[in-house]
Order: sequence, then C-alpha cells, then structure tokens
Amino acid sequence: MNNMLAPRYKRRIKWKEEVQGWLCILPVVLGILIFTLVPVLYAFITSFFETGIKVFSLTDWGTFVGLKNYTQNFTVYAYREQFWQSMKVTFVYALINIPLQMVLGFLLAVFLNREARGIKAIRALFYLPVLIPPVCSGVLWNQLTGEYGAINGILAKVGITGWAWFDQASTSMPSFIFINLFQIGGSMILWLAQLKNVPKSMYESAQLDGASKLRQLLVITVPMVTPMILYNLIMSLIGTLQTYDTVATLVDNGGKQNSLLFYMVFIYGNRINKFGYTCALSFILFFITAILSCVVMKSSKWVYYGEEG
Amino acid sequence: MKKRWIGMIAAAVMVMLAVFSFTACKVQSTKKQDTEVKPEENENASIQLTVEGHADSIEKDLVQTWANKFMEANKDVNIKVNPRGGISTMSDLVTLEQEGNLPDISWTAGDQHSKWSGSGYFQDLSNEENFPGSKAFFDGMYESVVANTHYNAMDTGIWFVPRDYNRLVVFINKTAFEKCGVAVPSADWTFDDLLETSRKLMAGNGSYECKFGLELRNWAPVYTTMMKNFGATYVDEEGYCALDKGIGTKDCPALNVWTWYDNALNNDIDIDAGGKKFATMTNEGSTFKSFNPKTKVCNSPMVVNTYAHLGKYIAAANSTGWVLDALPFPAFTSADNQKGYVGAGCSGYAITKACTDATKREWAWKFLQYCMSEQGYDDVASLGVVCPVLKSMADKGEWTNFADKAGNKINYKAFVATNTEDIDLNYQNVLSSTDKQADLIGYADTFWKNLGQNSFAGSAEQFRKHYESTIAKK
Amino acid sequence: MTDTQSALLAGAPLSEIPPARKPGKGERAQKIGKRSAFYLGALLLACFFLFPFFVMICISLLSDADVYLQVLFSPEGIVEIGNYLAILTPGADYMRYVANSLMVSAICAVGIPLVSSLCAFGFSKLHFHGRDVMFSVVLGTLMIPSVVTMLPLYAIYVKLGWVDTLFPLWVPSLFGGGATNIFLMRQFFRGIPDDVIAAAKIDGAGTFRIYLQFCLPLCIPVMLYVGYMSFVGAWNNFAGPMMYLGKNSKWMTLALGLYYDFGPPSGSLSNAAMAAGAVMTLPCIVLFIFFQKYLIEGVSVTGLKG
Repeated sequence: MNNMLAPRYKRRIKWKEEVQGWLCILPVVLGILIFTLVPVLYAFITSFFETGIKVFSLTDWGTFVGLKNYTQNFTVYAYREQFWQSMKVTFVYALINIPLQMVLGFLLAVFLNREARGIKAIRALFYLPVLIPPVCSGVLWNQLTGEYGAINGILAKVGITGWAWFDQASTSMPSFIFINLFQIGGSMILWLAQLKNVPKSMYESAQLDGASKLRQLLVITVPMVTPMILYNLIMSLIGTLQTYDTVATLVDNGGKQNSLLFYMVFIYGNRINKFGYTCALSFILFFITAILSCVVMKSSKWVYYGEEG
Repeated sequence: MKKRWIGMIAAAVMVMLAVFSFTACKVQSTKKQDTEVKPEENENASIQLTVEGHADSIEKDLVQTWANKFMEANKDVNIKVNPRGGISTMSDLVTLEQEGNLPDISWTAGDQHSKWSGSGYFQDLSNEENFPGSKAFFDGMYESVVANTHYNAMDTGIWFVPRDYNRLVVFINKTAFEKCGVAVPSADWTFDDLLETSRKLMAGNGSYECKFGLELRNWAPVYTTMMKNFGATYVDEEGYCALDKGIGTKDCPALNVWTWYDNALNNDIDIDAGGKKFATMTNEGSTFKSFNPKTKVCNSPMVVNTYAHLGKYIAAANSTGWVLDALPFPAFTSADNQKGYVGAGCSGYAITKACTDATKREWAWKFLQYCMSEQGYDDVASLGVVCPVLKSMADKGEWTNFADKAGNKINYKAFVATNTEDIDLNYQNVLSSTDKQADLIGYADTFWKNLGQNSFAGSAEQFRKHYESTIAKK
Repeated sequence: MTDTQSALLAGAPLSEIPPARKPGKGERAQKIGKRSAFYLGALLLACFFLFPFFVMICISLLSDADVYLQVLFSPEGIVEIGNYLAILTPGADYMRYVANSLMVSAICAVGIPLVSSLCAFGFSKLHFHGRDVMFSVVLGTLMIPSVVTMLPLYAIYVKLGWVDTLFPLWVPSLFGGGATNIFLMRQFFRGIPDDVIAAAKIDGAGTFRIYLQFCLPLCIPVMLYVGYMSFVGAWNNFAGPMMYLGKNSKWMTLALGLYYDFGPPSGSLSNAAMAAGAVMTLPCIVLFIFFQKYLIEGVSVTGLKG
C-alpha cells in the first residue's frame, strides 16, 4: 500500500520541499542580488569611467576611459605615489600586526587557561578593551597622545620624553600597532575556546613521559589548534586589509606624511571627487583579498583536523 | 553570577566615593553656554527663500540674525535658514543637490568655490540686468576680496557676495604680556620686531614665562602670505612649476621661506633664547585659546589668525579671565624696502542655480544687499564673526565698539590696517581648469606637510613631479 | 594512605593513578607561591590593559582649566561633572544620537538572528536543488570587501531617496543577516539530530512549524550570541553612517556624531570627548556582563573544524 502511494507522494513532497527551501533562503538570495550583485556590477562598470564632481545619474556615466583608472596607478606619478604608499602602509601593518596579535593572543590564552578562583572575572577584564567602539578608541587615543595630552604628561613625569606618537611619520606606525595591542583580548577568547578542545589526556601522558611545559606547548597545543590558526589567519587578513574605523578617527587624512594612509582611507578620501577611480581601487582590493585567501587555503596542508567531535 | 557582578560594581562605586570624599574634592558642573538665535517666520509670506549658512553654530546665529531682521522689515518674504544644516565642506553642495535640497542662497568659501562657480552652481552677480546695482555694490568693497570671487584668472564674473574681510592679524594675550613684563608692540611693527618680542616673552621675567612666542596655523593663507613676502610662487604665469626656482643658487625664494619656518618651528635662530624654537604650529590655533591665568607658563601668547575667530577667543577670555587684543600682521621689510604683503581672504553667500524664479532672485539679491550693508553689519556686530567688507566702514560702525565682558575694547584698526599690501589668496586661479586647481591645492598642502619631516629639496622635487604628472606643463 | 596507594588498591587503570609524592609543607608553600605569582602577573597585565579606561574616566572628570595641565587628577581637587550633564540632558544632540543608534541597533539585534536562523534552517534541514551551490555563493560574499558594494550602493540609495535616512543602515542586514551569521547558525543546526525533525514530520507538522517550535528554542544560546554581536556591530558602525548620513543630519547615529562633535575635526576639549566616549561604551560593557555566558558559548560553536 505504502509502495503504491510512495512515488507520487515522494514527488509531491519533493516539490513542496523545494519551494519551501527556496522560500526559506529567499531573504539571503534577494539580499545578495540587490545589495551585492548589482552594486558589484555597477562598481565594475563605473571603474572604466572617469566621473567628475556631479550628481549620480544612471544616464550620465561620465567619460569612458577604459583601463585608465587602473593603469594610472602605475603610470602617473601623483596617483602612483599615493597608491603604492597606501599599499605599503596596509601591508606593512598586516604583516606585523597579524602574527603579533595571533602569537600574543595565543600566549595570553595559554596563560589564562587554568582553573583558578576568579579566572572568569580576570578573563573578562582582558576582554573589556575590545568592547570600546573603534570610534571611541580613535577619539580616545587621539586626545591621549596629543602634544599636550595625558600620556605624554605621565611619561614626562617618569622621565621618558621624545616619543612623538602620531606627530611624526616615523613614530606613527609603531604607535598605531601599540594601540591595537589592546585588542588581544578578542583573539584570546577564540584561542581559549579552541584550547578547551585539546584533550587533557594528551597533556597527562606527555607529563608522564617527562616532557617540560614548553615542549608540551610546542608539540601538543600548537598542532591541535592549527584549524584555529587557519581561520584566524584568513579572517584577520580580510579584516586588516579593510582597516578603517580605528585609523580614520585617530588621525586626519592619512596622518603625517601619509604614514597611516591605509587603503580604505585612501578610497574614502577620494570617493566624491573621483568616483570611478575609487571603484577601480576597490576592485583591486577585491582581487588581492581573493588571491590571498585562496593562497592561504590551498597551502593549508599543515592544518591538523582532529577527530570530528 | 549576577549577584557577584552587582556586588563588585557596588564595591567599586563605594571605593570611588570614598576616595573622592577623602581627598575633599569639590564637585562642580559648569554649564556650557548655548546661545541660539531663535528663528522667526513670516506666516503669510508669498515668497519663500532657503538659506544654507556655514555649519558652525556661531555662524548659524549670524545668518539667523540677518534673516530675522530682514523678515521684520519685509513681511512679504519668509527666509528659512536650515536649522540643522550648514555647509562645512564645499562637497556638501553636491550632497544637497542629490537630495533635492539645493538652497536659494548658499554660503561658500572664498578660496574653494571655483569648481562650483565654474560649473554653473552659482549665478553671476556682475550681471546688471539680473542684479541691478551690482557695480556700485561691489565697488564699495575692498578690491582684494572681490578678486576672490572669480574662478580663474581670466574670469570676470562675480560669483558670490563676499561677506567679510579676513585679513591675517596677530591676536595677543595682553595678560601674558603683562605677566612677562613685555610691552605690547606698536601697530607698525616688522618681522624683526616679532622675533624680538617672542624672545622677550620666552625669557619672561623670572616668575613667569612663555613656552613659545608665536602660534602659527597650519593653513594655506598663512603659507601663501609668507611665500609672497619672500618672493616665492608655486606656478609662474605661463603655468610652469616655479616652486624650486633658483634651487642650488644663492637665491631660492621658496628655500628662504622654508628655512624661516624651519628655524621658527624646529631650530632656534640665534635669538639667544636658550636653544628653544620660538613658534609652534597647530591646526586651529587652539593653544592660544586655552590660556589659563592660574598657570605659571603661557603656552602661546600670540597667534596668527583672522577676525572670524574673534568670537571664540573672546568667549575663552571671558570664561577664564584674560584680556585679548589684536595687532596687524607685521610688515616684512625686504631688500628693496617693499612694504610687505598680507593675505586677505573672505567667505560669502552665493545665489545658486536653484533660484531661477525672477521674483525670488530679486528678493534674494535684496537680502544679500541688506546683509552686506552698514545696517546689516551693525545688526550682527556683537557676535564678533564678520569684519565688514565695505571700505566705508573701515572707521565706523558698531563693530568698532566690540569689547569683552569687562569692557576692554578690541583694537579694531588691526583688522583693516594699511601697513602691508593685500594679496589675493587664490593662487590656484592661475590655472584655468578647476579640476586641476583642486589638484594644485592638494600638492601645495602636501608640500607644506613635509615641514620638519623632509628636506626642502626632496619636498620641492615631489611637488614638481606631482605637478608635471597631472597638470602637465614641464 | 596516600592517593597513589588508595588508587592502586582500588584497581584504577594506570593512567588515572596520581604519581606517588609526599605532599609536604614545602610543596604547599610552593603551590601557594605559584598561585600568587600567577595572580600578581595577571593583575599587573590587567592593569596595563585597563589603563586606557582608567585614563578615559579620569580625564572626563577634569575641568576645562585643568585639561591643559596634562594631569589625571585635578591638583585642586575639582571634579567636573558638567561634561556628562551636558550630553545627558534630554534636549541635547547627544541624546538624539543615542536614540537613533538604539533604534538601528535594536532592529538589527532582533531581526538578524531571526532571518539568519531561517536561512540557516533552509540550508541545513531542507533539501532542494542547488542548496549547496547557493551556500557556497553565500560564503563567497564574505570575500567581497564592503567598500566595493558601499560606493555604488550610495548611488542606488540616492535614487531611492534613502540618503540621509537610517534605512541603509538596517534594511540590507535584514536580507539574510550576513554570511558569517548564516554560517554560524547552520553549524549549530547541523548539530540537531535529523530524527527529531523526522519525528515531527510524521506527526504532521509543517516545515515552518518545525522551524518555529523545535529548532528555534534549541538555538536560543546562539541566537542570543548573534543578537548581541549584531547589536554591538550596529552600535559601533561608523563607515556606514559616514557614507549615508549628512553632516548635520536629523538621523545622525552615535558613532558618527561622536566623531563629528568630539573627534579630530571638531577641536573639542579632551574632557568632553572622553565623557562622550565613556557614555558610548557603557551599553556595550553592560550588555557584555549580561551576555558573557552566551558569548563564550557562541564562540565555541563557531565550529572551527573547517
């Protein structure tokens, strides 16, 4: 009896489930169509035009200039200088900051990964600086590190003078990296979660074998958290290349001598006058992000996926 | 869990309270003054005008005062000043147009209007047909500010009505001068006198001294003035890059300006002031404003600024209790005894392309003629924002009586002095294309940002490379 | 008897027998010593991390005259609360910013978990053609930098008349809720055994009812996590308002208002800026304290096994 009914019933169910399935994901499909696909196409097309400081209209695209918006980053001195400066600033920051934060966050997590009274409160204390909104953080540090700011006053009392924070090009980037060290708490939480997945039995057997704490760390903990390292690496990469909030509220227009001219600051700075050019710039960022992510994913043979638990 | 947190927070608050009460702290709250001119309205007016002023709150008061007074006298017209709007950068005009809110009358900067006046956003006010009486009106204003209203060197149109005569002056802190025992220089002082005064101020009198003698602003009008005084230019008349003219020889004017700034800000000239630099540079001139008579050191007793900041300085002087005054910009004595130059800029109000109806335009023109008249300036003299642009008011009008809370009058003559010659600050007008003008301004700004960070040769070369790569004269 | 001996007697497996040691007084002292060293170290580090907070509060309580003395505490003992009063009075601009930000953040905090859980339900529990392809597409959008879409979206919003309103800040997030959130919820849904769903179907429940009655209640922790992250994300959003709101807009949000009124372009004094910043940070901290448990849990659910 069941069998006779089964084919038609199954097919009806299948069709009904198809519709329901698509209905369920309708919001995200529409969202991608309207808010992602159309703008990306629009940006792609506009990147081949040169637009002036006029009102946007769908009929008046500006003058068609082909690949000029892309190539003038290499040919015209004025654009080349700013483009490569912003590239340099962004990548130097990424190269230094991503490993630094990963390592320091990991070490902090290892340090706090123990059972002790009040450990939860202590962990929360380290996480608090992450909760400060980036805008606030920028305004806060801008005021603190001004020439007559509080931090210079305190340092002067201790006897340390001469560090110009954001007033000089040479000290701007180290100061910026220092400021972002306060965000370690965020990655610490993620590391803690992953560290809990490492079974205690491994540590115990290693201890019985006579391994020192350091060796345990290197040989057991690090390989077991490699999935986290991969995830962190990719997300950090995508995020760091798009740094904007913290630096825009901190210094005016790229800092002294464009020492903090991050790529996004460069794009936003030009968005009204040179819309076509900024669309081209954003596409260049897209390609770079995609290529880097693929490279990291493909070379991720070193990731050890433990038992799916 | 929650109880523990509440407990901890309560403990922390109690600790703080204990600390504060233990150190016998005085809790106070100074109310921040917010003077706002209330908008009035002519209910049944047949003509509606919209005005966008500058975004600063004190300038909103200015426009609102003018609008209220005009509406009182003319019941047919209702002028709406956008209460929350305001132009702070010129690109805001494009945003307003996008939203469909382009006003009939708009504030405009005197030095950044070219891109808009050159592309039809504003109406040409020199047109006697549309704007009767314009020649007589503009002839009554200082020539240097009327020169600001063109969008390039070849243009003869007048694209906005200048509203103030912003000559660079040196504001001084008389209280600090007294404390240091230094006499206030006379109105015909020179650059050498400026140096001498700074030295004396920084030496102090034993119990009081100044950290710096002078505060400069990181601002194009100041740079342009200094460049003109030393004989340097960015671009020559044919459009070639002229910043590094004479580099490597005995006389490179731009290098001389650079060196002057370098010595003022980074090294000491041989002024026997203990190796200290005599000037500091800030964005807005805020160190001068922050003077506190209770401290032992004055950070900067002199600042180079314009009349537009008078209101802010007076408010600071009134609240913390010191005396403000002004001196004209010192004269630069050059080798051939030329009098020296000083930059005179302005901002103003334009009638935009949105005001097409003939009646509206007529009333907009009447409104602007009222604002920039002797009566109009008298009505807003107490705000301390605009120095009248009419030559006839150089010696008279309410604005000459501007004083602080205690009745100390500001020396109004400093703002209309004739010890130096006015220069047109719109150096970018030498280029005919308004797009390239914006680029030139950007390159000049970058050049000056290199002060103290790079050498002159390197910065001048960078300017030349920038210029030649996009503005294309070699 | 020591622990070792009792364990041996009880026949415990070798790995569970603690090593034989004599717990002497010296060892206990050493343990206490190590403990206190740990606490000391942790507290020192915590002081360093909390230093910006501390300075922020201190400076916000300085009077205008004291700000330029570069001190943390007023030398005359004056505690100035005028800055807080100025921004917390009902008519102040700041309160308007807070109201706007709260509106946007609340909409996001409620809407995003609902929408993303619906989509995640579709991706994990329902079967239809192209399901996996669509999911990869959704994940692919993670790689597109936000700036590529933001610039053209501005032009589109101009046409729609949404510029200078709050719509661009929350309407797009209600269309799916973002790829990361969908990914997160899908991981969680996959943990719900299929038998429960099958049993409910046999009982005759429609798909939507299954979603509402069975799945949603199970994901409350993750929903709270996503809701919290959405709230904080909308509260802190700076680039969005900067692009879409005018400088003196009626709809100004807190992040942008703070920047314009107290940040570098304004030239305001430190104490006012610090007070404004402290008030902006407060809701985030309060919410964190209450949602701490779900935050940690939610993070461990991110399923980092690729």
